[in-house]
Formats: sequence, structure tokens, C-alpha cells
Amino acid sequence: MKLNAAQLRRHALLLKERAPQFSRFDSQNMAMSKAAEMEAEADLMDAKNGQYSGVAKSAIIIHKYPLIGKVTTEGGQRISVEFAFGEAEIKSLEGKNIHIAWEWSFDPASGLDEGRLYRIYIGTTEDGPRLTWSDGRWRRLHSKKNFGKKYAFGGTWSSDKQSFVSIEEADPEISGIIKKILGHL
Amino acid sequence: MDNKLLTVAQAEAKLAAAKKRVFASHRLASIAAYERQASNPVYDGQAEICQSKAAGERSLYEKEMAEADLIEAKASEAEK
Repeated sequence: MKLNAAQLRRHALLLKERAPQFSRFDSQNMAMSKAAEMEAEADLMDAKNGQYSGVAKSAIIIHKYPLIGKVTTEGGQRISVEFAFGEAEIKSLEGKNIHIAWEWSFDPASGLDEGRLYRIYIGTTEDGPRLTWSDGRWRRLHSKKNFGKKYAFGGTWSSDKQSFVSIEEADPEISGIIKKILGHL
Repeated sequence: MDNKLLTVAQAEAKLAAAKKRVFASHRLASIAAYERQASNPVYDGQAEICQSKAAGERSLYEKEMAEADLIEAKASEAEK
């Protein structure tokens, strides 16, 4: 199977992380040089595809995410985050038993995609995780109620195959409360 | 991650150098094996044989590593 550039970088990264655990110096050296070879192969693929053009490398990209706000990245680095809510709004939501969590993309192998918002989770104190957002779509979640105090994302859950563009379609009840408190969705 | 803009020629040179270093790393493993054996010989004279083999492998290892550096240096010089 032929790996793509991102997969090669990921394997190289894992190998570099594991290399120090090898007991012998020559094994460590072999792992590190193999990792460097994989990176060089990925660089060649990218160079042939024009992946890191000068423009893309220096481009400032402003991402607007639902609920969370505005995130600016430059060359795969997150340089600023303007949250569309403050501590008070989060407290108000928690007062209504609604919890929001989000995670950033953290994968050094993903190049310019690094630093983006990867996922948003919304859950309630009663039901646990109920909604998730990724790649511009909302999906309903069904928790097995083992979320503990991680109401937004904890425990075991399954997600519906059906996805929605807007949070109102996905969960009118929760979205109504959120809109009331945050003033936006 | 190295996010530098590489030309195809530079990337090819980097890969060629990396392949040489992988090959050289196998020599390093052989050197280590010879040195281990030299420190625990099973017959008279084996230690000397292993040491001389390790020395031979080491010189080849150093040659290959130097060649790898040269490939990269030439590629970056050509870009200037």
C-alpha cells in the first residue's frame, strides 16, 4: 500500500517518538534515519504537488466557527482566537445544564490544516453528550450515560449517520436555549 | 514539521541523502554487533577479527554519511 504524504509524516513522527525507547544506540539510529527517509519522501511528494506554495505558507486564514467564534491561522499555526462568548455566558449555559466543549486539530502531520477547530461537543447534565459538530455538520449523539462529570463529551456514545447543516435542525431544544443566552448560533 | 518550501530537486536530493543514511545505519548496527562479539569472543583471535571488521564497517559508514551530506550540500548550492 502506498502511503500519502500526511500518512508518511505521521508514521515518521511515531517512529521518532518511539526511537528513544529502543535499548541499543544502533537501533535508535536506524529508527531515526528511517523516519528522516519517510519525511524526505513526504517532502518530495509535497514538492511535486506544490503543496506548500509560498502563498499558502504565508497566507492568513480566518475561520468562522458556529458558537465558538473566529480563529485566525497562519501557515498552519493558530495565531488568534476571538471567542464569541465569555465566562459569564458559559456559566449561564451551565446554569441551564448545557455544557460546551471543543477540540483543536493537533496533528503536526496535517501541515496547513493544523490549528483548525476540529470538533465541538454539546451535552446536558441529564443526558450527557447530545450533539457534535465537525467539518461543518452537526450530528446527534446517544450517550450510554457513563459520562461522569464530562457532560459534553465524556463516556461512551454513538452518533447518528444523519447530519445537519444547522444546530437548530439537529436539536431545536438545546439550540433555542443557547441562542437565548449567547445571542447567536 | 519542516514547513519549508522545497523545490523538487532539493526534495529529491534530500530523499537520496536520507536513503544513504538509512543504508549507513545498517552498517552502524553491524559495527555494534561486531563490537559486542569482540567483547565476548568464543575462540582465540575472534576479538581481533571482529575489531578489524568493525573498523572496516565504520570507515564505510563514515564514507556513506559524508556522501549523504555532499548530496544535500550540492543540491542547496545549485539552488543559490
